[in-house]
Amino acid sequence: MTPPIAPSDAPDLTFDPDQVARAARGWDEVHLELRGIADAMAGATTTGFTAPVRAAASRCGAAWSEVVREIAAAAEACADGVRASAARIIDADERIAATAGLLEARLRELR
Amino acid sequence: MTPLRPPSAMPPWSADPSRVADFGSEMLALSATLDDCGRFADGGARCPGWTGAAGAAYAARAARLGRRADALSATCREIANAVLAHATALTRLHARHAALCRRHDDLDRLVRATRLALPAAGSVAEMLLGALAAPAGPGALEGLLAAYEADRRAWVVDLDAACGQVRRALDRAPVGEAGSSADSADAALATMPTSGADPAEVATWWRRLSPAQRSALVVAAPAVIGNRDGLPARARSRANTVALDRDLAVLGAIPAALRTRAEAARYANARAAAAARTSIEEQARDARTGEPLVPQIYAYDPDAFDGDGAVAMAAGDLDTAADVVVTVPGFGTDAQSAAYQGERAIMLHRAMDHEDPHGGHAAMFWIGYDAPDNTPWDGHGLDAAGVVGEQMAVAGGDRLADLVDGLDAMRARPAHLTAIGHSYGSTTLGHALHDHRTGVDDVAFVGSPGVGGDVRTAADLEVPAGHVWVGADSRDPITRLGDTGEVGLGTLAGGGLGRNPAEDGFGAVRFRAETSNHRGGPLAEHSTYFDPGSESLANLARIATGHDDAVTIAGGVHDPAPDLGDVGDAVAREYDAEGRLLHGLTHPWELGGDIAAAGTDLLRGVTDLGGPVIDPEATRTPPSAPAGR
Repeated sequence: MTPPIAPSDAPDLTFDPDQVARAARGWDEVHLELRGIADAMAGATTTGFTAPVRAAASRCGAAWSEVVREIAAAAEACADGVRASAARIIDADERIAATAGLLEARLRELR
Repeated sequence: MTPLRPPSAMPPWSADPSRVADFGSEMLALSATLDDCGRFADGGARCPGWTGAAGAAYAARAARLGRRADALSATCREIANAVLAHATALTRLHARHAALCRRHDDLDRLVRATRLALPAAGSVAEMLLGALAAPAGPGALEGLLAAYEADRRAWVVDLDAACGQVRRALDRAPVGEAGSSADSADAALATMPTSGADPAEVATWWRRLSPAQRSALVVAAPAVIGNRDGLPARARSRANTVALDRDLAVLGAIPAALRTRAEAARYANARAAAAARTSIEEQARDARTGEPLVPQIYAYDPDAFDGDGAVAMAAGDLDTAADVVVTVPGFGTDAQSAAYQGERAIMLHRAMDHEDPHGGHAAMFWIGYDAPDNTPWDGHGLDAAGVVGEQMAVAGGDRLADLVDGLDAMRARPAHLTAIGHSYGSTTLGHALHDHRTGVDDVAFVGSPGVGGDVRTAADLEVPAGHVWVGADSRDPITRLGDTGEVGLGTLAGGGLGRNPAEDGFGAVRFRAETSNHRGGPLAEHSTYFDPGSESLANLARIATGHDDAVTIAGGVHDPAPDLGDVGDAVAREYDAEGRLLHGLTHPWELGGDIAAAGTDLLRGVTDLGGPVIDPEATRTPPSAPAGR
């Protein structure tokens, strides 16, 4: 794997692909967990409550299920976003390296 | 005279507190999962090795998401706690409802009786009326009616109040305000005694926390709170319920074909624990109220012991029960056995209620150590080899000692604590009570292959004299594995699991544990000690409830060796007409050098080792006194 790029005189951009990949996988896990628990909440039975409370319980379960699905989607977006960013950074790095190689062949020392 | 109005009928009862509690537990699991999301955003999601504009944007986005998840978790937890409190309130209201219904029916009958006719003086009807409504007389009945109506109104008001309170909580919008949920949990966790601390220290730490901190911890760190000895059983159970429900929801949502092997094992263990929970919910009742018991999940660690898993669950309230019994299972037990062990706990609890109808009992099964559960011929590993050695029992004894210390530490008032070790679990129990000087009020070994090599007599255990009990079915071949006098795996080959506690010289009280319910199969009698209706179960329940006088006693197993004199041949044997050995000593050297093979054969179910011990409980022809006695 590509080692972290951390030139001492240019701290603006560093990139550790392993670390970023781990974070992406972690967000995937979080997404799955949140989705699973949201589905369970949506299916939670409210029949144990007295009749006057049952409707409120149903609304509550549905609302929380919905909001947790939103968080799950955001976690998945994080995972996808991190992966896409990593791919672009690696791709750009490779393109720059290739360009630099081509350029080097055309450069001549003039002095 | 104006006829008395009949009492107002009670409104029908339509709630189910256990289902309400289930809903609250689902919400707690939701809160815990949100909390995990926040924790991940603040920890594992960080990428310090990624800087620059994109890295900074990612960090900001992850932090925002984490904060929102934390805040939502706090709100969700508050609602969940309100729902769980409502479930408790409903349980009390249900009990009051049942009592008021009974009063209504009695009063209704009385009023109807007064309407029929004024009973003649000295008539049976008058005597009945007097008996039912003493002090008799119209004034007294009116007073009873008025008191009933007042109590009924109070009940209706209380039900309305409880419902209104929970409805307000349920109506809260699912939004989170940046709060202190994670902070309060984190701050509390930071002060938690370190691993290995004395359970009493852990109990003190817990008592000093605020209710909000305790509640936050249950959600933020269910795996820690749920398995920490010294914490109250209710808190542990709530945390483990969160963890279990989350496993069921999260792992259940992953298609079976896509689960990793570890996830599949964890899910299977979760399902087994859930099955045990359901059994207890459906089958166990409080003897005093008739209400279903809420199972207490005292331990839940589905990944423990390389995926074998750990589960401990109780029928009854471990925090308050006057009599608490813990069963320690043996060979072949892992978390997958939870449902089976749960049935045993239910049977034991029921039997305890039968022996002592006042109730207040709790029966827990403890699958909390790495018991030998694979046989070499299964091709799943070799830890069955552990069953002829004590290593796993020694390690299990360490954990069991912590459990017992934890049960002691968490209680405001100590319970009458009984530990029951079955099969290899008796070896584990022997180690806990011997190696750690852990004390219990009563101990019972059933189907024991030996109670550990260092335990020479009952006095070596930290148990009051006369309170070491043993149950050994004379047809149970496993009970013959223990060293009896000079005969046994330990004395012959330096192996084995220690002394046979049923031997008369050991010093335990042997109770009757014979069964007439022969299921067939060479090891059938080894699994009958908790059977409903068995004398073993009844005796265990008597011991566990302190009814020692009612325990039916059996004779100990004799060690025949001292009776042999110096006769250099196998003696003290009796044969039947066909020349088959009925009983008697087989000399050590006749057992041959392959003791391990004999043990293995036993495990496979070959029961006849030649009967090296003499058991007066055996239903075969009892032995006559050996020559020279």
